[in-house]
Amino acid sequence: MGGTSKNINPGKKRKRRAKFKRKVRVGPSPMVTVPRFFRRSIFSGSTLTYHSYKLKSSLPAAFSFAEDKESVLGFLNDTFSLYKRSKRKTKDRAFVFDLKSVENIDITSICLFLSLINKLKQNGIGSRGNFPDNENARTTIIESGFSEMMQSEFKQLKTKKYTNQIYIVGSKRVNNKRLGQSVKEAVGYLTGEEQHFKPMYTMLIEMCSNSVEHANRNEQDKNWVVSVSYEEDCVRFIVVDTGEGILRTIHKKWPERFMDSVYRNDGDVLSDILDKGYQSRTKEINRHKGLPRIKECHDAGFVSDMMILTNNVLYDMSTKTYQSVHNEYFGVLYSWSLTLNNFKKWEERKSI
Amino acid sequence: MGREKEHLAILDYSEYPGPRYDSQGPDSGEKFYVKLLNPSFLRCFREDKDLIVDLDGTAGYASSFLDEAFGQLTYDFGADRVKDRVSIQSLDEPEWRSMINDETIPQWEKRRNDHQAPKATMEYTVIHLNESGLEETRSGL
Repeated sequence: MGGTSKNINPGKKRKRRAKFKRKVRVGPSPMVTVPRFFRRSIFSGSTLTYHSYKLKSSLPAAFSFAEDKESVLGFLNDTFSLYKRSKRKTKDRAFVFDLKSVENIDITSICLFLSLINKLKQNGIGSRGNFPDNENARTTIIESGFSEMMQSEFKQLKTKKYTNQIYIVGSKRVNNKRLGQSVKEAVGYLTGEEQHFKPMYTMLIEMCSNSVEHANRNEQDKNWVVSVSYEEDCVRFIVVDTGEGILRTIHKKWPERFMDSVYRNDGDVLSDILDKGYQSRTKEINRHKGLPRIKECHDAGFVSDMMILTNNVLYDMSTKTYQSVHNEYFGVLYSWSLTLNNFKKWEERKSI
Repeated sequence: MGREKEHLAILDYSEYPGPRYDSQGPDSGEKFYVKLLNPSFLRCFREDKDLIVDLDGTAGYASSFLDEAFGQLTYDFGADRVKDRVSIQSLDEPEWRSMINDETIPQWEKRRNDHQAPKATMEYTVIHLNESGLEETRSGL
């Protein structure tokens, strides 16, 4: 007679055992120890509760992009890889972010953090968190509109309460009108009269269009965040998109990827893309016009202090130099400022 | 004596022109081509008129908006006919005129010759001219 335990497929046996273990967990105990695959992660002290199935992660004390970009990027990568590792293991999950120990935070890192949360949300993962104990850090987060954005589940805020606020969070579609409005408001702040500023609109729409066009083949990974901060004599813009990053998107064909990896570094490739060099090298027609256009706007003096972070490269447009970052950023971060002088340059050019 | 002129202002379509494809956002280049540029050009072609496309007055453009709109026009009618009849007016940003004439039109002419049809993200039917110069319909989606 068959049917003895020896004849059972070992794979099936393992599955049955796992199913049984899952059933056992459905009990009155509110706390369940962290499964083994989490113990290897940086969040080794975290616990999963049976009722909520939350994953817990703590933000580093220095969560400021300006001061410690590696720590911010490392946190983003670790959190997302934690999600990816747990993807098929549990069903209902929500991340709990512990911000209590954060002492230093800036608007760039808030935008990056928000884009991570938005990316998780689009993958069906909720997020919760607390505020930092440090008052300055807490104020920066509150004034950024971060918590309101979270509470409203990423619906666009109708009122702008603070001067340093995240403006738009989007995913699969570009919000042209809203982007145009943000430009008008910025010009209004600098000149006293709200009016169009074409180069700035072009830049914003290029960035968000690139995000939805190239960001990622996986729809749920597309998302972008725009932040506008009103400072004393300038308006600072930050655009973050999550996806694969310019360098990973551009390297589509393996011969080019191989040649670039052997003979050129990522900074040179990005520099080439910005100078239209890549289009001619790859012979890819009617693509890659957006990034050169962004650079042209910067070089013409219509914006200042432009910086691009993508994959392992941080490119400074003002000095035309780049530096490598150890923790790769899967997406693109643009940051620049608009001053009255920038707008005057545009006005002067129009009058010629 | 020159041909009669028809004027098409993008501002009449949208103050805030959007991205390349309709699926990516409102007021896209794809939609502008289908709703306005294709019918206007066809009318001018049939009535032997020139078409002036005015880019001024809007909030600005993404290069992909203009590339898709004028690229599809080139794909459907050929570079020679487009260059012969269309003139682009862009006083605020003359560089768009250069981009369309020097990059978009030649690149999409190559696509026309290679029969590499435009990607469609909305339902539409437009009229185009085939290699023999005869009118045909082309559908999206």
